[in-house]
Amino acid sequence: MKSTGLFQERQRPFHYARDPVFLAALAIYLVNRLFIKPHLHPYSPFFHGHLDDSLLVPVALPIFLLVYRLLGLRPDNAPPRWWEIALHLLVWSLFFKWFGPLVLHRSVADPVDVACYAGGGIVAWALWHFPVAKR
Amino acid sequence: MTPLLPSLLGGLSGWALLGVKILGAFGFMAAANLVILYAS
Repeated sequence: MKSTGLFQERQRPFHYARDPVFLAALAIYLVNRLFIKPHLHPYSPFFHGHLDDSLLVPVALPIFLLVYRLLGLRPDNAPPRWWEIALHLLVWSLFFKWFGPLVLHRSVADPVDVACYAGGGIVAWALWHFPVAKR
Repeated sequence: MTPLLPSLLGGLSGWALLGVKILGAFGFMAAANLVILYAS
């Protein structure tokens, strides 16, 4: 598809589910879920909570953006823009920390979790826009 | 990357197609958020 909007094709395209940041974050999530958390008997706030929250943006956002791209709502294959990250952070914060606990009685309304979402989002944005090595 | 759904829904008019796409995006977002919420 021909590029439209501000993104230029000469810039590095985003590969969605094949993106290295997504794959690395997914691997960390799976290792934590399958191998670390089940064997960590004293509750660890980091491994049982904050790590997963920090991985929300790098793991979930590429899949969401891929669906928008397939639907034709995303005009190009640019790396996730700051406002795309911010918009999803807002939706996820409201859904997981307000709607979930209040309406679905699932999850807890902890502002630290929102800070973890944002922290993970900032790190992911930096890695997507200023990669440490050429791909 | 070829936009698959727009080609499948090519018979719809422009505004109807946009509405279907936006509804699809919201539907996906709602379903995916519920999966994340209940899987975590």
